[in-house]
Amino acid sequence: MNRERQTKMSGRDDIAIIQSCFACNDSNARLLAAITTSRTFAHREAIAHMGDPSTQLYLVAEGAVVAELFGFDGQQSQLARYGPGEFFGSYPEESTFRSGFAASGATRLLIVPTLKLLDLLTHNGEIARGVANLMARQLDLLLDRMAARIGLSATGRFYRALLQLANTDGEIRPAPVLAALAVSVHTTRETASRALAVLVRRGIVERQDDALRIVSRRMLEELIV
Amino acid sequence: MARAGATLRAWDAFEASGFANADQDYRALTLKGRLLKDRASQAPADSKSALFAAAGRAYEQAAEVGTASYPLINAAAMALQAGERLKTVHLANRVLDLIESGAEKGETPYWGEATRAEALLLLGRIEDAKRSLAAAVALAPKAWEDHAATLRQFSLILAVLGQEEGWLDRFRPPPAMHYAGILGIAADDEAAEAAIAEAVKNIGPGFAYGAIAAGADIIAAEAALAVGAELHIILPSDPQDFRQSSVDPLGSDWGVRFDALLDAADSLSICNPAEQTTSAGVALAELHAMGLAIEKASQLQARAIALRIEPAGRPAIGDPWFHSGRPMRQVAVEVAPDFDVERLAAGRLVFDIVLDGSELASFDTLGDAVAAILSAAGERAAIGCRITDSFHVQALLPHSAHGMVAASRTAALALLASGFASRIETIGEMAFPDGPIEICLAALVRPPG
Repeated sequence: MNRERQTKMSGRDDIAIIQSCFACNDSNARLLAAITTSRTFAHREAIAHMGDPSTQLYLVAEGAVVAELFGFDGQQSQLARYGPGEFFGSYPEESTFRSGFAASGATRLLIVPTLKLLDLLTHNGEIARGVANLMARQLDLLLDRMAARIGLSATGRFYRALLQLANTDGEIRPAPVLAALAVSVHTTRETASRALAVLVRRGIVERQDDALRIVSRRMLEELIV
Repeated sequence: MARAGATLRAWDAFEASGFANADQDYRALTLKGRLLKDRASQAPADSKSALFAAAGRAYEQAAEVGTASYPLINAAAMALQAGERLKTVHLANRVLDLIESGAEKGETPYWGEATRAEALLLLGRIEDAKRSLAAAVALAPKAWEDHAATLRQFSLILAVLGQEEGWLDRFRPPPAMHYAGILGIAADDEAAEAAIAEAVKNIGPGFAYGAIAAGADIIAAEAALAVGAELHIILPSDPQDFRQSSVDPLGSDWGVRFDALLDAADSLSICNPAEQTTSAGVALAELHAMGLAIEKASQLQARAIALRIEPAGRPAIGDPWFHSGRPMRQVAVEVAPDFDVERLAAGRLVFDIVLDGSELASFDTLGDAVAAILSAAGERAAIGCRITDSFHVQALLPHSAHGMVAASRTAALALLASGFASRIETIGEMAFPDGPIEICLAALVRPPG
């Protein structure tokens, strides 16, 4: 129910987002970025209508997307909501949209043409593994929804990701791109930025030149809820 | 479980996992110390000492296998609670040696100096402890959560030492303020602006929570920023929708001020981003904001204060804060003579509950929903609130535990705001087709009055 702020769309972190979501190296992220476009949508703006040809795969970089259906009685119902790090659209084949899709809050999507992606994956194992991981993660989310299972909160997921990135000395070098790390743990850049600010304010994490250093692992672990 | 206050169940789970006998595991030993300390705090007088002593032993063992200052200072405090004064002095001196020799720096710069302050306090060197605590706070002036933990601990120690604790107040974080008021203040009403600014200055908030409708809200939010408070904006709907319904119709430069506040805010929460602004949505967002202010104050050992900006004589009778008995400051203002704005659509705010073995029941007031849960006196219960047709409360029920009610975060904050919960604890997030919802456990109390 509690949506965070969605403002200031920008494409400057796209490579980092792709790298983070697809768990691929910089050169592969650039290959994928070369066939990806970034597009912003205003709150409630239509992204696609039911029955439209669906020829692309969409990754939510910021904001959220709702899938809506109109029944025979004209009643509108919401089928699903896709948050940061989730994707929708067609894969592995082009198809047609089975529902309407609209932005919820200011939203930015990274859009890849389905056939170009398929062609890239045929020749690139690392990106293919990244897509498989993304799809597996989304299936997990779907199962979570069906099983009504409680998982970590958004800040808990972000803190866990920081711990996982740190080396044995507690260093994360280079410092993570927050927007990218946020998307990879299904939250917003603003939530991640606020969560990191709390750590820095309390001295649990220290900002260094091009690095973050975890000063107290125990205190950070205690915040993973 | 321990964080949720389920002390005995946490201990049972700890034992069942086989950690109670783990004598080389630093994390298990420090957790054992913490759980025994929690048990001691709740135990009858005749078994307190033994449990505090056992907690101290667990911390001492932890100091043998890991970073020593954190468990040792806890062991020293446990020894004091157990009435073992000589041991307290011995352990506190060991901590002082570790810190002052530079052998250990503490987990963070703040905790290094605060641990030194606690050791000095345990040794009865109160003036030295005051200076050391001031130095610790200066190292991390905004580490309020850590200051709060220290203040709680110092308060317990001073009680055992039979010393007064008034001096701790100067280290307390500033209050959390919830503000609300009328729309119809003229943009050029300098008297109203001055009165609101004065009231905010007197409260001296470190954290301000509320919406930013034209009029009282915007003036109060600007005043909070002017005194250096963090501004946390809570809106019922998408900012553009809210601006169209509650800011733009009032004309003048309210829209520009609204945008400036959005940019300056430390956080923005939107209760129902897909819905249009309604009176019911505004009421829910107000409960959410009040709950956040109370939760923040409680986490930081600070005070929660409400600021109400209304025409003189308007009764506060419908205000949940008024019924909670928490402090409230009022500023009387005049409605602009030409004030005329279209009323919001009413909408409907509904509180849903589910009890073990019962169907979902819906109520128009939170008080009625809470009364129904309390009168059923069942094992498990869940509560949610909504202004739409989409409800999730059934999915929450399995997570009700330890005598606490499972609640969506907004419902939990509403319970806190209205004085129906003494404590709430976030336990994680649940995915739903229409987006994730944060889940809390809430300890219900009988409705006031």
